Amino acid sequence: MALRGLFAPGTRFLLPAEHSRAFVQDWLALMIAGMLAIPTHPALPAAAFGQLQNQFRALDFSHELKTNLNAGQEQPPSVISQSEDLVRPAEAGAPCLALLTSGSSGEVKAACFLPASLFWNAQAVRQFQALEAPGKMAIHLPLNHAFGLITQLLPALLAASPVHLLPHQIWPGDLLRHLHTAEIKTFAAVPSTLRLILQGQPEPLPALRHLSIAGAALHPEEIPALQAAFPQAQIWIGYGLTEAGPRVSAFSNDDPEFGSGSAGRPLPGVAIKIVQDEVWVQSPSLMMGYLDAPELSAETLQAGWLKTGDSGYLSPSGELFITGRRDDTLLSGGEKVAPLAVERALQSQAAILHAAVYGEADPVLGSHLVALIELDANAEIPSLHALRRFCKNTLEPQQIPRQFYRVKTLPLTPNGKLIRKELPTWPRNPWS
Amino acid sequence: MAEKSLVLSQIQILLKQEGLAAPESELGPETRLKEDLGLDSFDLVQLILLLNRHFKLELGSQLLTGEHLENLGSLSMLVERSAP
Repeated sequence: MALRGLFAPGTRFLLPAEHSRAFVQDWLALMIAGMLAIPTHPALPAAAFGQLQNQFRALDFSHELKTNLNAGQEQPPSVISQSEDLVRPAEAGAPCLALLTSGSSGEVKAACFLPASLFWNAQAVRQFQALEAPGKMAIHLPLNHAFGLITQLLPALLAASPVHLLPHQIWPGDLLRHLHTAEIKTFAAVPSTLRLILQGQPEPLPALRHLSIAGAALHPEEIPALQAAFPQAQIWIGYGLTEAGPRVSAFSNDDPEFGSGSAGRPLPGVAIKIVQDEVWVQSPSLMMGYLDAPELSAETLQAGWLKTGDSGYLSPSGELFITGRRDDTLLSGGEKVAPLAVERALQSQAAILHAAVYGEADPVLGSHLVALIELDANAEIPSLHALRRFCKNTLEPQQIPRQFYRVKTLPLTPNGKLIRKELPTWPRNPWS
Repeated sequence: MAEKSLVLSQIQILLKQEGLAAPESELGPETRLKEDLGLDSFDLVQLILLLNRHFKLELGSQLLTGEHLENLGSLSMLVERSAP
């Protein structure tokens, strides 16, 4: 009975998004049973996991399941009926999924979705992006993010296509070998993975027919090399964001405007408007709002429109162009990073008085983080390795600066606000 | 072509210079990149770019496998094989 009480509709569960069959089963089971799944990075440090539990009043799914099953003789409640449609959610009006995303000030937010929204976006992607029958699909994009979960895994499940769940941390050579030997037909990757794959002369992948670029834009000048490496594959680029559920626009290399730098055309049923240079989106798959954050939700969702925080414009023929972020968010390796969160973490070290972080162009990652550090004159200077160790224990990999410099001061306004645009050219000294 | 031991010692120096290994650590061919040095995929991208630049080579994607990048010994052999 205890187990039945715990696993009740509306209960919130943190679910580490391991690339395994168990994760997929658990996620679907929670959705069908009307519970709220909050997928997390599978290697999240324990402290960060605990913070999420507190912030969102959520339980650790695997811990609760193991504890309760071990404590009693109860079997887990049957939430999937073998005789019914396997992906029919039980509670149509309640959120079934909350996806974690970080805001520009580094706070963690959880975008909540109704089951119907997820299925709408997955079906729209299937129809618009030629994924009605994706064939063998390999997924290595993280399943705690919307792209992998909603626009890859869910369409494959709806199409009953075989899915190969690859480790997220897989070497390019091992990835290529798997795509080749398993004759994968459909695959998606962030630009940094594709850039690594394109180093040298990659072996052709004759079975590959559908390649989507996720997470960040590929520079138009990089597209010919991709097409030359995989000439038989249809290449898809687009625009989306977690809060939009996620796909907003897309097009393939069959479109005459492909390669123009555009992020594609809106999916049928999605409307885009530009308000003072900002991209606003209306779509059946928009989030309901952020979990336990009504003010932030009201600020982001206005009269049925999602304010994306991205700057952009629509061409006369209707293609979307994204020109940048309206806030300080950086993109590294396809992942969004809030500089403020990194700076706060660095400044928690006693030896560091002030820290400022900015993005610098990177041939593989798109951009990487650079940290300018003002040290406390009385403190012992930590070694570069010690600084990196500290970052590893407190930050996610994409948040860790790849270069550290010492500065005497930082560029500040008279009010003490950091002048970020001056950071790339600010005088600095090597760490050691 | 650089001597094998020379390549290994240059990689060791680079790792320490970049803060990817502790200055006082003893590194050898058996030192594992992920388990012993704790390098994540972002670190490894950084390391590969560093090796490409330092040794003036381009490590082809097909060579970037778990087998070749397991430890410093296998990595230095890969660099040695790929050096111009």
